[in-house]
Amino acid sequence: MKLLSILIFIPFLGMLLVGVLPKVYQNIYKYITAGIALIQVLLAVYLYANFEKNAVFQFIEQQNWISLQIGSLGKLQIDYFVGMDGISAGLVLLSSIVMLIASLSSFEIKANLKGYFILFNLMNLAIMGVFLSLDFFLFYVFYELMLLPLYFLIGMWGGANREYASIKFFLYTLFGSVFMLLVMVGLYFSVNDPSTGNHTFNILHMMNPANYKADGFFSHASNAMLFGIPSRFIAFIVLFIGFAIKVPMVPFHTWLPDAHVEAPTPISIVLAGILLKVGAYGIIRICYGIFPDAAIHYSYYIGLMGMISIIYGALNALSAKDLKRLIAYSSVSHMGFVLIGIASLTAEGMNGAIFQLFSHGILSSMLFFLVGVLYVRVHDRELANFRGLSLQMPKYTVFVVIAFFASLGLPGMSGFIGEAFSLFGAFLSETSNGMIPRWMAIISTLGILLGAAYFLWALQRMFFGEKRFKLSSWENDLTDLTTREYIVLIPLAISTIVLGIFPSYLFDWSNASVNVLINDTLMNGYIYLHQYFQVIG
Amino acid sequence: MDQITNISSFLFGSAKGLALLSLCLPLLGFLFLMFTKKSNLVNIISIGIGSISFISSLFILIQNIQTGNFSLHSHWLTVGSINLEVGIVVDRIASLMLSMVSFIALMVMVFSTSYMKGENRYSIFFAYLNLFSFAMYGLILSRNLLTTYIFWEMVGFCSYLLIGFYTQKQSAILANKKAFIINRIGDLGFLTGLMILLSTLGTLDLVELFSRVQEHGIYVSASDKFALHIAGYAFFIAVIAKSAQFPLHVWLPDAMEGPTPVSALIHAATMVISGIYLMIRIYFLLDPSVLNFIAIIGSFTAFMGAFIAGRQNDIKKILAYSTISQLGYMVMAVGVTAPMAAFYHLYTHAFFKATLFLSAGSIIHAIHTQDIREMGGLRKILPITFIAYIVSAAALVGIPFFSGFFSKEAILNETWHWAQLHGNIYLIVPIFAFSGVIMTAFYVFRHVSMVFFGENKFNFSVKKENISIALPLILLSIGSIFMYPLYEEVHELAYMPYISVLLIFIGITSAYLICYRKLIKPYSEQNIIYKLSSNALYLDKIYDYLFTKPIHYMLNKLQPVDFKFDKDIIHGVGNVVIHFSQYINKFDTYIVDGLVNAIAKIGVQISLLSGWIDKKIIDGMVNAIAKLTRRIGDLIRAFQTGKVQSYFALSALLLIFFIWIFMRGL
Repeated sequence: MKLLSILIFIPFLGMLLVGVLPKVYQNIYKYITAGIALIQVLLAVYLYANFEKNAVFQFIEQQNWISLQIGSLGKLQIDYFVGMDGISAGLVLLSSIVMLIASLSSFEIKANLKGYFILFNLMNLAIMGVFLSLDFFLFYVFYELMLLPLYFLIGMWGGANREYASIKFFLYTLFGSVFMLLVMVGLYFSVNDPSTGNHTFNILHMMNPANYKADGFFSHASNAMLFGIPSRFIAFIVLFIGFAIKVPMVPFHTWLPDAHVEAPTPISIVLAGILLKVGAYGIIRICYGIFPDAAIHYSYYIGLMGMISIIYGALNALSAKDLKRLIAYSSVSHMGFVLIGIASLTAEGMNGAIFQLFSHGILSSMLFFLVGVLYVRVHDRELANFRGLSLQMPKYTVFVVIAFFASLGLPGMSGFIGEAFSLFGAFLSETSNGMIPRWMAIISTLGILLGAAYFLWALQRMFFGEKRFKLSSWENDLTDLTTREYIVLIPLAISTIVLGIFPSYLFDWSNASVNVLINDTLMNGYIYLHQYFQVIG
Repeated sequence: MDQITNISSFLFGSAKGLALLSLCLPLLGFLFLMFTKKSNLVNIISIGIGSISFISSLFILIQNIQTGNFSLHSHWLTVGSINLEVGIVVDRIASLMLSMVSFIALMVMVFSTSYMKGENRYSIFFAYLNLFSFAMYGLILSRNLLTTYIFWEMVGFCSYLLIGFYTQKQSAILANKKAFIINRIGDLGFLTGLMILLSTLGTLDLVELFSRVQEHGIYVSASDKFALHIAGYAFFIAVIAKSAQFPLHVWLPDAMEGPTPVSALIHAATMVISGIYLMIRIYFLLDPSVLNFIAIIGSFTAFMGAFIAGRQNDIKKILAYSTISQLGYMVMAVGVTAPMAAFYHLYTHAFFKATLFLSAGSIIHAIHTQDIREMGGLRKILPITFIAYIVSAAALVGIPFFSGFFSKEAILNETWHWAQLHGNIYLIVPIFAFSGVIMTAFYVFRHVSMVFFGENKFNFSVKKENISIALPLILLSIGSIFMYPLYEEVHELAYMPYISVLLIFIGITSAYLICYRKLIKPYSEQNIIYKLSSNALYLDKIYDYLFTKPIHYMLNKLQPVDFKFDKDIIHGVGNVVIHFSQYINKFDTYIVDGLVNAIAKIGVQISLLSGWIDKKIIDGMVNAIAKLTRRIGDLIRAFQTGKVQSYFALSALLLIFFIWIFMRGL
């Protein structure tokens, strides 16, 4: 059973079905898409349950994909190589859940259904592929394939200013991927497959220092320099920036609020729930996995940028006047915890970061869905235009309170565990490996305080007090939750509470892989750095 | 079937099981009550769960006295080097706390069945109370500091929900936000403390921490020692916020916006004392300099709270400041190295302060006002409330043979002893403490006389207390009479009782003369002492001038913003932060995003330029070449006129031209 391939390519079936069915039947497109997503969830749950917690890469499928003899350059060898480890296991599960939520949320899309659902399924396919590829070329293909539908989905089904937002999003992220292509090619020519002797795109081979050719451009032994900096460091920086744009890290975050505000609700959910995680996943898998030396070298600055993102995002959220913008900036702040956790290079911080990825995926999907509930009823999201919503929509308010408090890190819910362990790792780093100083962790705790401030302030202004809306007609428009909305919100609320109480359901899965990654990164990284040191003097 | 019998025999048969049962039942109660609306069912469930918890807590206490401490734990999670276990530990302090909290919670629930009657979110109110009980029991029983932290925030969250129970009331929803955010400041301290413990001692388990400090206490490295020193302060920040100590006490008076039973349970008897409970738990981690700091903050708060209470006119505000003051005494007791004295006072205080708040609730329920100037002569109208109030007020003042007398005595003894050891400026601590005793007597006499004595100001008939209001008052006030066998005097000073009686006498006499008989008029409204007291020591103004206004001034210089000054520090700081965040937002929009847009614009301009070049120059060149060819063609075609004369003329001209060239060449 090639389960991973089924998981990746089953949306292709959806594309076909939606494509083939004539427009007369366009009402069932959404059911097809949701059905596909549901199958994926079941499959992902099955995989997650059967995952061997102490092993690293599992469910591996490897096949020759492109094999070309190119003259003197030797044989071009690209594999279809997919597999799952503890780092991607949780993210695959998360992606399937978020895609299901997004597809349920897509029920409110009214225009050009055929195009929408084809693109949506394509995006689904690409997302699964990104998390599961272990071949750099394959990763790159999926990575780029993911951008294309997103661009159209924002640009065609978005809000008033959608074209600006979508082109901004596209250019921003394209900027990152152009450099990725260069680094990828460079790596290809620096690494040999130990069994065949050919060059390879295999990420696992790229992680092993023994596979580098001595004179390869990105080989630690060649001491290749670019602008006076070791070439591997340059490669790390450009890759990191490419992924940091996705995360997003301050100062590369400005596409996010615009994209979110303009995107239709399901796409906002996908953006915050999955796309941001791709950035962080890339940093862990590619940047830290392949360039451990540079990772050690730049951890201080990554931690610093994480800290700045936490505070800066929170302050911007505090001043937001649009609820969706507030949540978008809160994402910037929450993803800062991921960065600081990764930068700590401790098992606690890295596990915390992965937990935070999952938790934020659940919570941001929930938050954007909740905003969508309001928007679809009155087409307004301004904080100032609502007041006393708890009287108008009491059940809706319950879910808002759960989502807000989970996001601001109330213990007992998932947000707390992610943030706390990222910070624990950051704090432990100084004594265990010296990557980032303690003060960064301490200042980052302010983000938790500011988080409480902006969420509670929004809650107070919009939901409590006397009932007062911008237009009196809203009293009729603002109806409480529908069954479909319950179906989306209840599982999300339950999962954030369950993960808050039983965090082992994620930690036990990620622990082994993270330990291997941390050990390899520290060990190989120091070996490389030691060699540089000897060469430089 | 066997399993079920096993589980039930475990739950009901052993003290461990009972502890687990009393912890988990309120949580189940919460879940159930969220989905029910029938008020009878709500009453049965809440009071049933409350009673079971209380009875099992008594069993646990007896078990603890007979067989000693016990604990229960299981693995929770492993991450890297962190191995966390959840568990409960039942020692003497925990079992005493558990019995006290469960008793007061039960009483408050009984009281609330009357007080909250007819409220349309009646069941939600009881659900929240149950959630709070769960969190509070968890906090008490927790064996691991991380789970303590989790419950610590959860009680804060319940307090948030309950202060803002009347969601339409603007003041209530501002108060609950304030309470939560201030408590968050404390939480940051707690979290920092946890991180330090984790990185220096490598565990958060209280039992293990204790043994490690005992074993290695003196061997830790200098940097770890410093880190632990900082951890002491970090934990104390958490205490300052949760137990409403100066300068973070400002949330507690505002929290009185919540329903009165909530004030009795959460903001007097249980949640606010969890700070002191925490300090007693981690007492072995606090070093002398931290303790000195704790003593000073505590003693100042004790004095300040009592002083401010002296001129408040809202009965709940008086009690709130009184709570702040009494919490100050407890904190001070920990600071003067007498944690058990602090625990003793914590215990007695819980009973009499809960009684006072519930009595206040009974008054508010009966006459619908909180202003003591509108009250008077209530002793005849509400006799049971009156007796309960007098008994517990006597305990609060510390009149001999009431519970508060013994516990306050213990604290004063220890404080005096400690000050003599330390001397010098540390004498300020007992001075604050003693003057606090005078002020306490003063404010208690003042408001009791205004509320219960004097002429009856009510011409409408008021219903007497019904059973569900009277019963809790009676049972709780009995708790204010006993001297609990909880504490053995360590440093007993024979003259201390006389001193405190003298101090109380001074306080009562001055209150009698000033407020009741109005014989002495040391202050009019313009008087400085009056002003200080009724304006809460002008602390808010001081914060404003020291901190808020200068920053706002600077920010306004940059760009004037319509801004309203708020009256206390937290609002002040909050506004500064919000104001600042608007600048950050401007920065984000105009600088960061501006830069992106500028780059994009430059890109567009470049592309336009290259487009222009492409069109005008490159394409132009191509076109030009094409055009040139055509022109040449045209030109040449022009010659092909077919006229012999012009051919001839052209040939002649060419001939002349060539001849001229040759001539020049030669």
